[in-house]
Amino acid sequence: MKTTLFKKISSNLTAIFFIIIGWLVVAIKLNKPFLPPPQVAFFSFIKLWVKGILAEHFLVSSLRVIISVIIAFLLAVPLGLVLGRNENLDRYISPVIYVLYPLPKIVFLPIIVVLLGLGNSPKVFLITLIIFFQVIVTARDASKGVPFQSVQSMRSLNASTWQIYRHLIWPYCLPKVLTSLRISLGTAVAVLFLAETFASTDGIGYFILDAMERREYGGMYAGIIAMGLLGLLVYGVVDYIEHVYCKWQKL
Amino acid sequence: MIEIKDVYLHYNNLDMNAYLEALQNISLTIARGERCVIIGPSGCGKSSLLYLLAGLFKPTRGKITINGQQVTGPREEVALILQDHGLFPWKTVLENAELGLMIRNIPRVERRRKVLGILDSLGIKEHAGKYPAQISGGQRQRVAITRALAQEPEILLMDEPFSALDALTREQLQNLLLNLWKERLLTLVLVTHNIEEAVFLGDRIIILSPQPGKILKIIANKGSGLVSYRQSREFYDQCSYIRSVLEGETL
Repeated sequence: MKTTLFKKISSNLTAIFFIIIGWLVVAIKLNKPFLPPPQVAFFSFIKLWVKGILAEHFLVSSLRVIISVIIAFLLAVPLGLVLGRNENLDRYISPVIYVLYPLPKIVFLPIIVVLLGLGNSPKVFLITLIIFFQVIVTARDASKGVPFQSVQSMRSLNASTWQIYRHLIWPYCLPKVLTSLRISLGTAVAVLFLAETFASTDGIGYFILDAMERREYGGMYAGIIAMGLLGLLVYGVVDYIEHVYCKWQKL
Repeated sequence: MIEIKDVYLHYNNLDMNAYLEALQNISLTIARGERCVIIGPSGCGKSSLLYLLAGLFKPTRGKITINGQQVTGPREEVALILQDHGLFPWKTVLENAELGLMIRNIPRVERRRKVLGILDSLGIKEHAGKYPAQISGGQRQRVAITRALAQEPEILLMDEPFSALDALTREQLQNLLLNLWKERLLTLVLVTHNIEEAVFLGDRIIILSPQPGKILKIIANKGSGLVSYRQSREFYDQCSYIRSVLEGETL
């Protein structure tokens, strides 16, 4: 297990190395102020981070994503699992979900800002919305796919409905739910950036746009790096959860 | 004692949008300590009959009683073993085996002691900490048997329990099953499509016709119950006789 973790880290480092080399080559060739070489970007990243300015925005953005994920997960998973096992309920609620699911939630940003203002709540609301729909659709389909025989096996042991959810449906669906969470996180971070550049006074998105407007390109790239780190962080957390709770999947 | 009286089972086939008959006019009495094997072509409703006995399905017409009490749901004295969906890949061997007791809220220490004892007697105690994916098919079936025996059933229902195993493992488990039947004074109801298995295990063999399942023939199988029966002349004669009955039906 330790060796696979080591392998993963070392292959990630290799990937980062090649990205930096590519960046360096393009920056030297282009020789424009809006694409500084990586060392300039990293230097300003470290400088701004140590100063605490960037770290503060990073923390704000991270908390927004993490809180949204938790709220969306707690709402969407139970609802999705129950919908998948309950045809009558599914018949009424699924059409609503299917109409709303493909709608790009970002278009609601102006309305949400008008309703909820400029603080954390509009961002959290928007990201929660995005993750919620992705996860509820997956959870519902997954719980629908629980084999009939497995359910009968649980019932023959005299399991209550709650026990069937606890011992069968939940563990059966968890890996699929985590995969959908990982997919929606990409969108969530992208939308967070947009939301933070639109009528906002904090967060990495705001930081990047602010630096751009001041033509502070080193700072702008420091913000981009921070955004990348945020994505990496939330992915890492989901990976870790999967590693701990879905060990059996890799056997 | 199990009494099945004039039982009919219908089900809604959603794909064909039709109301189909799975079982037709089944009447059968299974005495305590009997080894009753139900054989028939696929789709003859033999699994449905088992589900009825386990209290998982309700008959459309007719009545099923166990020890004089009408079957209305799963009962503690009846254990069901299914072909492959009985074990959950996210639970270890031990957790799978103790699931039935866990559902009945038996304290942890007590259920561990009991389950480890049975795992030991079936020769798989050393695998207690492994996941189903890490052990062989035969070992997995032993885990399923452990789970069933842990609830100390009087009646053991088995749905094609050994059909996914290779010939040698299958014979070993059939021998094991005979021993367990003797030791624990079980009533055995086993569904199979394997003629040799039916003849080796059943002291009575019920042949069902294809859809809808009706009792075609009931065959007394006196010689069964001894491991040596498998090599005898009578065994082969009985097998070819049953084959001829089944073939006569499908022609």
